[in-house]
Amino acid sequence: MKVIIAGCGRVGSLLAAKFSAEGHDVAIIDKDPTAFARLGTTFSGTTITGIVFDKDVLDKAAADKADAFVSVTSGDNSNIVSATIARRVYRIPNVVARIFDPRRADIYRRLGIVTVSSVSWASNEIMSLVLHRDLVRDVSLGDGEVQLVKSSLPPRLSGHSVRDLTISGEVTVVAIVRGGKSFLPTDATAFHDGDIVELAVLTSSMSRLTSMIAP
Amino acid sequence: MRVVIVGGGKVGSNLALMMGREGHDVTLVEIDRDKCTVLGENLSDVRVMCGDGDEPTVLEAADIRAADVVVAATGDDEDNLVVCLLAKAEYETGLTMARVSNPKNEWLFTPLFGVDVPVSQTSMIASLLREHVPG
Repeated sequence: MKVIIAGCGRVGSLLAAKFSAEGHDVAIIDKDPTAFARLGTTFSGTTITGIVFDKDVLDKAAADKADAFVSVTSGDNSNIVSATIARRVYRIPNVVARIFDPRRADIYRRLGIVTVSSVSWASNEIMSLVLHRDLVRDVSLGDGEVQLVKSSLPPRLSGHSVRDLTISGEVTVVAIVRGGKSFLPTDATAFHDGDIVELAVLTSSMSRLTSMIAP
Repeated sequence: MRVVIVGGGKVGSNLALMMGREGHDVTLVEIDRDKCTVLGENLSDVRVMCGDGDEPTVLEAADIRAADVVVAATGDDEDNLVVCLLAKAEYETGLTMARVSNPKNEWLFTPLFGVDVPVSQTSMIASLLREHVPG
């Protein structure tokens, strides 16, 4: 796959190294040539010094032939502008922009730019790590608004049904692992002692879940 | 006419001054707090708002939804593009104008970024030159 990365900061350089190590054809752009030192010696792709939304620079990166474009410069506006050009001018099929400001990330998502809001994601992650240590987090979805977590069943819930651990729209029991085998429960399934419960939960409802499964 | 101008440098502030004097309802958005204080003291006919004009919350506080015209007059091309993109796509502004600083970026100042009227000094001088210098 041919990947263009706009911005050679901490995230950009790490992405470039990872794509490159997996054998992808990487071109990375930064306005500061000293930024490329972050790439290390094993990076085998192309480095281009210049502004990430400059036509000459994008042409040099062969943007018309790229399969993916990632904008991770330190400026939200540079990321938005370069991602929009990548998508609408060069018609690159897969474009992802990192946006710090969560409010703006939503707007650009509506405009058809796939965004990762690192601020929302990191603060959601940290909140759950600080407040809900008992829940083991398996996956966080989107910007961390929904998480898949697992917990061993507190003994007092043994004999209760899945319904008792469900809050419509907030907490859903996705699966139960019993004796090493997993299955999808119904509302009426009764919990057994020793069950491991997999739940999908809204990050904002994590506190409610924590109090429900408190031993 | 209701006008929202983003960027309170020489271009934006003088534009605000002129439009305000002509009786238009002008809101000038400037990010630098010290500049805002000075602008507030000097521009009596203009509402000066301190904030980042690329922030939806700031634009909404400037009542962008009610604006007839949005002018992006900062010295940063990418900031001006984002102002127009937001104005057109999110707030359905009727007319957007944007200042182009680097002529190399002029190709982006199109409806692609919600820009109705690009204003580039270089292009203006070039066309005047062509008019005044035959052949």
